[in-house]
Amino acid sequence: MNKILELNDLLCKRDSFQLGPLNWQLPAGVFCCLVGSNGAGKSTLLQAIMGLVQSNSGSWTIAGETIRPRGAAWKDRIGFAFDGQNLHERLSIADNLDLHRSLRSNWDSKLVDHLMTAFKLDRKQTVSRLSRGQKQAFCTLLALAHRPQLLLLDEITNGMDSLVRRAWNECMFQLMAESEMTVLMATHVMSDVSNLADRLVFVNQGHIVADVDKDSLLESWRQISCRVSNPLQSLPRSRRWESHGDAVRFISQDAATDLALLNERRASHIESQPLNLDEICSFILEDNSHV
Amino acid sequence: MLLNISDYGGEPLYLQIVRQVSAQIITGSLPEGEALPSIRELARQERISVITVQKAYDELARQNLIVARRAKGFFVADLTNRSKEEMARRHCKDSLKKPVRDSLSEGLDLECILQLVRDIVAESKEPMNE
Repeated sequence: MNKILELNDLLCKRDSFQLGPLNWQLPAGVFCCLVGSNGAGKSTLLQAIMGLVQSNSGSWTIAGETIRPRGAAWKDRIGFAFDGQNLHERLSIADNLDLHRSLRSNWDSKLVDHLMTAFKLDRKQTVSRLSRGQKQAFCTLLALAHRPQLLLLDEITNGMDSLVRRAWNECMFQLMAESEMTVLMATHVMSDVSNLADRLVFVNQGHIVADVDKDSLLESWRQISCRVSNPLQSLPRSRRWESHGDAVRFISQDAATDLALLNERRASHIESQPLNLDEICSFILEDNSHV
Repeated sequence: MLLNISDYGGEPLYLQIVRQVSAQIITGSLPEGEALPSIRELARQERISVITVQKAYDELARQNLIVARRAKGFFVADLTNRSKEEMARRHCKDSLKKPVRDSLSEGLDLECILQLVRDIVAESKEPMNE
């Protein structure tokens, strides 16, 4: 698969915080979530790629090309939107659109019209009177208007009500189905994007600690319970092991192996329940919090 | 091709597609040679990611249920009745394993379980009430 983004020894120092050195690749066409606790470095990483934070050393490429941050080629290829982004609050939506259009060579008016309708935004409305969720949707629209190859989003679903979020989700699906767009999004709430996400990248203390496929996470992390005729020792790498009489319950991070073992032991009444993505993420972050 | 995909069941989306499409192929509701929707079409229709559909189609192709034709897309493979039956057997064994194990541990014996299966088969063959 083609790489849209490649980081080579990227290092950013900011006050006492250090991001990297990072070596990492993002395949084209995926929706990738950056997951980490507050202060882990998710936003710094996004800002480094946006060129808002100067890197101290290392380099990065977009679609195989080394591109000067904030140059013309960079602007054409990257779109970004973040929580609390500056908009011209006292101007109308139409004026904000005009301003942004004047900065872009490849503005797609048809797409803008489509997104305006989908997000139920009114051109005449003053930006300061929009709700937080509507502002976030409008920021996303501005980031998409030039059909970027790489869309960077930072906590952009915060404050969206369920209607706006659904419209936002639908637009993302549509754009990703009809183009090769790649999305890299920092989020604390995986459930907002659990159906969109393809990959999850875990960030802790300025380092990428895991880069995993969403489906394999959902398949391997399970809450398993069963009844066993012979007493069973807690399985390796299992958590929250509980037993009561012949009943056992635990959280597995390798369900296929654990289920095979339980079958071998002739366990009965085996139930393997899914965990939601937010729970799985918190387990993984907990594991990495001592690094 | 109609699918019923849900994000809440815990089963990965691509496996839901694989399971449902393979059942449609084995029962014949997707006939041999039929074109499947393109990856992007299905992604848009079901509101799932392109990567997910790609993964599902790859898995179906790996199981020889569908074939990719260069620049034309994916088509239902020619399957012998024997390989269809083999697949149906595998599905049946997978889904029976848990209830059979549980029933044994609840004290039922083989003969009793077999009789229950016979009953279920008989019920399924009864004509529907108008």
